[in-house]
Amino acid sequence: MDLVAVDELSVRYGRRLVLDRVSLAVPEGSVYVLLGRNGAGKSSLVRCLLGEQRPGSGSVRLLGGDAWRERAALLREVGVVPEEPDAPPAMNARELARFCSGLYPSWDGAGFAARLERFGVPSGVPFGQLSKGQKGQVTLSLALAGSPRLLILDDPTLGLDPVARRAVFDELIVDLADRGTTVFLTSHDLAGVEGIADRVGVLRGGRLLVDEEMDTLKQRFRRLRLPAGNGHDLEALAPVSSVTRAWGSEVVVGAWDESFAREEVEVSAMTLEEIFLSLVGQEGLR
Amino acid sequence: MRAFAMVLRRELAERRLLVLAAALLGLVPVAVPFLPLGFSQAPDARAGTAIALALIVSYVLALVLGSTVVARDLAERRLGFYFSRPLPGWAIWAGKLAGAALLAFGSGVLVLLPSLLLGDRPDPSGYWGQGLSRGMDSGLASALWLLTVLALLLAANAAGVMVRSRSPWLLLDLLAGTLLAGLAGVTAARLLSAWALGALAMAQVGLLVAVVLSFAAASGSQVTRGRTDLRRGHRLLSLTLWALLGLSVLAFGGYAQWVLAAAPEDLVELGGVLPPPAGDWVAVGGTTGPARGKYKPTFLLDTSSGRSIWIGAEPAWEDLAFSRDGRRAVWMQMGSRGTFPVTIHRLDLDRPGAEPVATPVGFSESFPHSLVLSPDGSRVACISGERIVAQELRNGKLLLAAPVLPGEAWEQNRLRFLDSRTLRFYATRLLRGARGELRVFDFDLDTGRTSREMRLPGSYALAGISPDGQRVLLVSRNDPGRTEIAIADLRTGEPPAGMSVDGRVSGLSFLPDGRAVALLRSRSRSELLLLDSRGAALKRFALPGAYVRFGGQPAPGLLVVASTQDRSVEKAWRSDLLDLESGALRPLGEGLFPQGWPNLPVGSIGTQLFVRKNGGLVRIDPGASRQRAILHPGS
Amino acid sequence: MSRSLRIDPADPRPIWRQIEESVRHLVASGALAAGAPVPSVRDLARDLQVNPATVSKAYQRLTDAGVLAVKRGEGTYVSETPPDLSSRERGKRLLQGAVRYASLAVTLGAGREETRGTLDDAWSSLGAGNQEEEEEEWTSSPSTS
Repeated sequence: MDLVAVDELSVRYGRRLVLDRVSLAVPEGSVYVLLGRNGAGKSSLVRCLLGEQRPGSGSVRLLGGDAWRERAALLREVGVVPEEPDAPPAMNARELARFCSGLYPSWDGAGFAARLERFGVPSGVPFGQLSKGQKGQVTLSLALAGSPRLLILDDPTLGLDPVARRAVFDELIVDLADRGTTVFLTSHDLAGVEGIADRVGVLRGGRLLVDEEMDTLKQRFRRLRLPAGNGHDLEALAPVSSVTRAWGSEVVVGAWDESFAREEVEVSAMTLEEIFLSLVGQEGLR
Repeated sequence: MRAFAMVLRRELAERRLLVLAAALLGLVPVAVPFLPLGFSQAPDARAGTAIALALIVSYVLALVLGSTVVARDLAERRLGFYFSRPLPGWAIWAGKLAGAALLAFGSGVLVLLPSLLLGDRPDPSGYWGQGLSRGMDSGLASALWLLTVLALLLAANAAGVMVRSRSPWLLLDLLAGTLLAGLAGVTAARLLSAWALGALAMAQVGLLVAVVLSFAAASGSQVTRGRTDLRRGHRLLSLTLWALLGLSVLAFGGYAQWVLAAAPEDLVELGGVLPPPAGDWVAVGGTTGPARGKYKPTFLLDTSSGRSIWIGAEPAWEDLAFSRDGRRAVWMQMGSRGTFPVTIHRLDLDRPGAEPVATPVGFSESFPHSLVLSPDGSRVACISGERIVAQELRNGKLLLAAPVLPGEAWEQNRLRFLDSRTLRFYATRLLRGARGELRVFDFDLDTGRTSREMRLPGSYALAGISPDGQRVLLVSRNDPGRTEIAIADLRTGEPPAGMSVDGRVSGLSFLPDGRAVALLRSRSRSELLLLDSRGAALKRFALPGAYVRFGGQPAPGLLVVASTQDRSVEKAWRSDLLDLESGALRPLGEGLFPQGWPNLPVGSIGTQLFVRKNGGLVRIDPGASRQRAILHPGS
Repeated sequence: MSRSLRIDPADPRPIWRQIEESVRHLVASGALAAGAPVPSVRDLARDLQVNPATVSKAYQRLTDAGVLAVKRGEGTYVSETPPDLSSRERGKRLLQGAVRYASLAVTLGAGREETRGTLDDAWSSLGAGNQEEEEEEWTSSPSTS
């Protein structure tokens, strides 16, 4: 079953179309990363997933149920880490755990405490007095302690230093290894998620440009370096961007086929970040 | 339910300090008697301070908590903490608001607690300023207090959301709010100026409940369907709120309309009937039922057609006078809430479809009384301030403004138009040494001057004036156990002639034909005494009953007398027809109270009207043996 | 092992393939001795910052191919007798690699001799076939950076 199933979702804010017929699915056990620039509509999508925003049209289904109508029941098996830590500043980690423990059918208090210790976060300090990284770590620990089937993370490493960032991904990976949790996350840390996500979506201007397996995406994108004066017909390779340089031109193609390998053409694979930049960056053709 | 409890507990825990502060504040009233303040030594200073402080604390907290508990969390994006967890929307909303309400109201109770524990039993009246609290018990007062706290809390919550969302809906809110407040105010003013205070009080409580429910529903809609979206929440809040409040204000208006549309048929208890010298119109007033808040309207009622005109509610009007032919009625109409200016209103009763009209005659400095109308209905006179004032009704032209015998203590004043041109003023007073006098002045309205002055020595009280104004009926009691009745003819100027009777005189009046009747009570016996036009006794008739009253003469030679054994029981009177020749009594019926008196013209409507024990009004014409119900009780 | 296993994000091969081939390479070169323990899926995933499912897939393929073996209750180890690739399979793979290398050399404008010489140097640097080289020791506890 798809733990997240978004079908033709459109959301309008006033006159602005924030999400335009977006459809994506997160199969059970997979890790889906949604990429997009700020303002592309990621937050709205996450809000729709969490049942905080009502879809203008289309449907959002979480664990098989309607996210807006059955929000409270469905969230019992979902762990959420929002972009900005929103726990009450006066509560400390212990109190937060006690509050949340009554809400979820299976609460792993020992695991929560162990995680805090691993992170090095004191459990008696009020939330408001923790550092940004520590706040994120507490929020992640709370989310994981509910033993959720699905984790929804909205840019969980935003603003964290490299050590804290690594710690977050470590915990995520450990949880994936131990429990096979399904994950939906958004992120700007493309290098960080590149290895962890097995499905990727790219949102631009409210539309989903890409929605496929990470391996497939990386398989089909190539950066080609063509010497000057070459009249190659690259239409079939679905060129995404083209830059002319002194020695020739550099073309990013989205439908690479090995049969196009030529002697004079230098072909290199692209990192996720490079692919993303070519799709949504300034020099993107489409 | 559990989710609600969890949110509630959390909200309360977050504001623990408030409770502590409230508990400390509760000690302030206890200290008041020991403080050197002006009022601190008053017996209820402690209780008064405690109540005032409790109200202030609870209201301030209601406003502050109300505006932040949801709105600020929304604006600062902290409501997501609840919404991203398996907590139902209604539990989040209810938990937050219940927490705020508990804190606000509970803090108030905490402030009150030390004072209560010390034995003070505060009197809730006087702290609401709306006249609602008279006779209010503490249970009702507490309920109203809680309701007010909730109303403030919910209103502050709505205001908080509206302001913080920074959306153009705020303009709609301000517009709608002003409009509805205006409508409600107009409706309240209508009820107030009609002196329907009971209805107003009930409606205000109902409106308060409706306001609380409307705000609650709007807030609930905002939280459960707007969730973490502040702008959308505002839109939902506004739509729900103004729709519900609009309905409430409409209902209020409808209720007010219904109350004020009361007709004579809606009177459950008749207060009294004022009959004219002629014609079928009467003034009738009474009390409506509890659904109208016991509103007391007065009407001019055409007993033949059933048409009624509302002329006001106590004390909006006073002193109604009819013209001699019964074709015109005038009365004094107060400004709203019984204030100045007082205007004379008139109604032409013989014109079908006529409406009450304000005349140019008005008073703005002192309340006039003793209003009289000239026989042809063209001029009015009354006593206002220290002056006798007469004016042309049509244009308000001042005809007379004579000072009322300044500097002297006068007991009874009466005014009568002898004709359109002559106004007669009667006054009695007591002088030293148990002496007294009756003074009569005639004013010529065409010249505005006194035309005649008469003096009648004797320590009399003025019991009646003949219809033509020329003869007066006097009574005096110099000797306990005996009463003197006398008639004086002002035309001749002769000393009053009369007789002395045993016992007390409980009623005395001229008859239309110039004779007089008196009701005597001595040694638990009642008697009717018939006197001739010179005050000499003609006949004496024994009457049944411990307490007796006259009625009028519904037919020639007959006089209505009503009697009862127990005056304390309302409407337990029975009426009989007394034959003035033979003294025979013909029963009219039990439970009938006459509305006329002997000096009304024979057979005029006043003499034939009776109020029934069950509250209805009936006209009985003994001559034609006809009985007709004019008003049924409480229909 | 983690220290010599690196995932290249710019490598077009899927990560599981990169892991699989790296392990094969390490085993073939003797850097991973037969019978040596291999990090758990959990630990390797954390070290490489990749999805454990990916590591799991690589391990599964390696186990299926006989390169790795699972000892019940004890973890995963290099199998005692790493199988040889069938010579046809080996030949095919070698040719693919050689074509790529030759293509690169042509693009760079290198001559045949130079290309061959460089190949020899690379072979030497791997220390392949030298069983006497000390075995790399590695642990399964989490590396700290």
